[in-house]
This record gives sequence, C-alpha cells and structure tokens, in this order.
Amino acid sequence: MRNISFTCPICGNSDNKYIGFDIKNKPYCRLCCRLSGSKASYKVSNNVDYSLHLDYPLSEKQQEIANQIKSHLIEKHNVLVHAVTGAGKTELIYESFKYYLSKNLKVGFATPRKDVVIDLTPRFKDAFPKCNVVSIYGDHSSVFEGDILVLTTHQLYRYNNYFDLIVLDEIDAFPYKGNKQLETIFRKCIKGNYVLLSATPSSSDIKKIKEDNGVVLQLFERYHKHDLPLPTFIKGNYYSCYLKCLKYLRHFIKENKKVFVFTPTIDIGKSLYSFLSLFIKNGDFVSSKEEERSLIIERFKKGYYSYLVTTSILERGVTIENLQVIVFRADNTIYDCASLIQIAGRAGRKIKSPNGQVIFIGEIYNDEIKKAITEIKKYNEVKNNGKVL
Amino acid sequence: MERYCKVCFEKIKFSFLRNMIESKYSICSSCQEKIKVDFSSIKVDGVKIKFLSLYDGLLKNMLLSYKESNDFELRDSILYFFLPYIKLYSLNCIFVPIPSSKESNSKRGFNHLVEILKVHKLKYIDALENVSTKNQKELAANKRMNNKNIVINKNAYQLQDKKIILFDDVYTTGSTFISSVNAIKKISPKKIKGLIIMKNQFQIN
Ligand SMILES: [Zn+2]
Ligand SMILES: [Zn+2]
Repeated sequence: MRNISFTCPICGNSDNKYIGFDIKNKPYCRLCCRLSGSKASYKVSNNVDYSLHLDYPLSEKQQEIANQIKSHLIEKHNVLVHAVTGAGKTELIYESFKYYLSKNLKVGFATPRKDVVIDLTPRFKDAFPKCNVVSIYGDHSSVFEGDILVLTTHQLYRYNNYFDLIVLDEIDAFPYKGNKQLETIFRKCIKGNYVLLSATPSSSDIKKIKEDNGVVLQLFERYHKHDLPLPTFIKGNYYSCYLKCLKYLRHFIKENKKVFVFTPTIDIGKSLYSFLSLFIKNGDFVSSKEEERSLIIERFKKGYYSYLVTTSILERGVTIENLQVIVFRADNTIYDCASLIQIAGRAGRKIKSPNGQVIFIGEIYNDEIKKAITEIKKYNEVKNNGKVL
Repeated sequence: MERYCKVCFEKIKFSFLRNMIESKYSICSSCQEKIKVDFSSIKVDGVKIKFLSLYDGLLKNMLLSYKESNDFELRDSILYFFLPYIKLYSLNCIFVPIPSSKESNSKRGFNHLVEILKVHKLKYIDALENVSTKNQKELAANKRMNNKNIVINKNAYQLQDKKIILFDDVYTTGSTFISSVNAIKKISPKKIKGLIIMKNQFQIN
C-alpha cells in the first residue's frame, strides 16, 4: 500500500487499501477489477407487446400506491416505498414498468441478494409474458440486455447512465446497506429516476430521498389485510432461555404449526439445535455455511421437517405457510430494530394462515426489541385507523 | 504505516513471524490458513511434476482474480505460503515458465507466471513460446491433446547442461506440459522437473 490520491472512476473509492498498481505502475481500483466484464450497450428493443398479466389482482391499497408511484415518476420524482413485510412490494412497480417499456425506455430491478434475483425472475416472466426478462448475477452473466433486467446490485457496474427507471429492492439488506462502493455504482447507473423499496428504511434513507427530489410512500397493509403479528418478549436467564425456547417450540408443534427458530450466530445455533433435537425430532439446522441449504429448505417446505434452527440467512425472501417464529437471544447485539422487524415479518404471510405468532426470547428487554415492537404496533395502528405518520 | 491483506483487505496483525521478517508481502495469516496445501507428484513422460495445491477454494479465486481480472497486486500473494518449500525444491535450478498464448498475454498486459517468478526473485529464463493462434479454452479437449504448439526461442541455448523446472499455474490435461517437455528436450538440459501450483483434480483420471 502506498499513499496516493486516486479516485476510482467506476465506484468512486479512494481508500488506499483498495488501490493497486499495475505493471506500468499506474493505479487501479482493486474492487472494480474484480467486477471486470463486459459493459452493456444501449440497444433499443424491437418488442412492441408489453402487456401485463397478473394471477392475483392488486389489493385496493396496492393499486393506490402503484398509481402514486407511476404518477410521481411521470413527474420525474424519485420514490421510496416503505411497505411492511408481506405487503407485496414487487407488484407495486409493474404498472410503472409497463409505462416505461411502452415508451421504449430502459427498466431494471436490482436487489443486493442473488437468491432474490433467482426468485423474482420467473415472477417477472409471468407478469410480462411477452417481454424478454433477463437475470444477471455473479456466475450467471452472459447476456446483459433485455426488456426487463433483474440483477444484483454488484452487476450494476455494467450500466453507466443507463436506466430510465431502476428499482432497488431491500436497500436495508446486506451487502448493499452501508456499502459506499455499491451505492456509487447504483448512482451511476441511473439515467432517469429510481424507486427504492424497503420494509425498514432508516431515518437517513428517508432524509436522503427527500433531499434528492423524492417522496416517501407508505403501505402498511399486508396483501391479505390482516395485522402484522406483534412479537411477544419472553425474559429468561442464560439457561432458562433454552428451556423457554423448547416450551414454545413444543407448543407450536403440538398445534401442527411450522417453526423457524432464529439464532444470532452459527455457534449458538448449533448448541441450541443439539439441545432441542434431544426432545423434538424432525428438525434441522441451516446456516450460510451449510452446503445443502436449499435442499433443507425445500424439504422443510414439503413438510419433512417441522422446525428449522437458522441464522439470519432465512431472514428475508422465504415464504412458508402457517409459519411461527421464535427469535432465540433476541437481545444479542447482532440484531437491530430493522432486522427484528424483518424476522418477525416471516410469520403469517399467507392468505390461508395470516396470523402467525412471533416470540422474542432473551435476557434483556433492550431498546432494539422495544423499538421493533413499537414500530410494528404503529404500522398496525396506522393501517387500522388510517392515521398518517 | 498500516498494512492490509491483499486478499481479504483486513488489517494485518504483526503477530505472524514471517510477516514481520518479510515485510513487503501482504497476505494475512487467516487467508494463508485458508489455502489448502496438497503436495503430490506424478511422472509424465519421465518428468516428475510437483503440485502444491488443488485447483479449488481461495487459491483458485486468487489466481483467477490475478490472471483473469488483472489484479496485478496479487502476484506476490499466490505463492507466498509455499515459498520456503519452493526455494528448497528449486535449489540450483532455473525456472522455465510454460507459455500462454500471445493473445492472452497481450490481453492481460503481462505474463502472469513470469511476474510471479520475478517478484519472488526466482531465477528464470523465458525460453518457450506458444505459437498457437486460437485461445486454448476454445479448443476441444481432444484437439488440445494433439496440438503441439510450444517451441523454443533464442533464449533456450542458455539452458544447455542446466537443471530446469518447467513452471505452470494449473495442470489440466497435461498436453501443454508434454509439449513443453518435448520442446525443451531439444537443447538437452541436464535435468528436467516440473512445478505446477494447482492440480485440477476433476480432469486427471
Ligand atoms: Zn472502483
Ligand atoms: Zn487476508
């Protein structure tokens, strides 16, 4: 490492530890050389059919927000949509996509996580059956142009001043959250306007968008119109936390319900699972390190297991019927208010089982837990009384 | 001045003895631990080849970042861990890098093997040339086997009666290695051995 003042033209990084010197002793950005690859060229599509097909109609509230998004975009405003977990965020931008596409403009949907790209691509294909939907992520990038691009935030480096409308999903998720490089890459790909989607936007997210010619729209009603499950905090000491976890798990399983038990770390997860599995069979442990993760989740969905002990890897994305949630050691510093809200949002997502239970277990009823519960309460109140925040 | 690991960008703690002595290298001890050591050797056409690791995991990623993404800084991190062993193995020998095609070298802007040897001050002579026109990757594996495209150049005469080590990064089908052996035999060196950083285990057998 040498001291030099050099700013990467792609990502804007100027931290010396990420700057290398090539064979001609010229500085280069070591973050962006890894992102080396073809850049997309701006091609106009010859498609003319951008018809939209929906299996389920939008709810009244969804429709209302979808219309507002579109009219703000037409007025060249940026939008942050604050929608609770299970509200159906993705569907909100379909109308706007259709509008842009019909004007032969470029649209994209970016998310920090690769598995979300994989999950969403077929949904876009269903919604826009006549369009060329292209997904782009790490080891799956060969085609870079299409009508609708679904991609990871990392892949946005290929697009400079490109998107007339770019949607960025889960701005609060790793690895986008707090990553300056990705934020710069995102800024650079925007040609027109952007829409940010989040279930737990921070106050700085809200401040930033308002300063950037933007508005905040709120959708606090889940698709099935039921309240968000309100978490209950259960206090215990180091040992009784294990016993209380076992007690609730047993209770849920007796009622024939599926359970996710979230743990703050892999080690805590392993020790908790080895304890629980002494008493309750047909469960398993999943973490980001487990190679057979997708297989285990698949088996869980099919009903082979009645519970999974998991690290935050299942915090987002997965939707399972009749799911109850236990957060073991919810007072661990790894959890903040936003991640607790996300995790609680796993429960009760399906129309057939809209009322899941959420249990937070810990030694200390700390501020993050209190904030998370108050926030969820507030969302439900706003939804039910039509109050505006 | 603070030093950062060139692989994981974390700050290097000065607890590791070698890092203190050889202060110009920059790979942290936890990245070094992640490199899977797998010494093995095979004999091909009467020439013994030594492997250091399998084509897998962190070392594979490092090599790809170095030679495919042109992260030139990594040239001193790839072999760092194996250096004491390599110095023993190559005592009184001269390295001869197995050449890549001219196209891939000019696309990259450097010869990746030569730069590794240079940075570690290992004695080498660039005596072979790859005269194939197509990129190796695009040729089918069976075609590659018969494709004798390695020739000696004018530097090769310096290797007469010397002990030489043919040096490459990844061993896949062995065809490039064999055709390098055949080419270098023409100037009758005293001894030929091979050193290849990684063995691609899925392609052997
Ligand atoms: Zn950069
Ligand atoms: Zn490291």
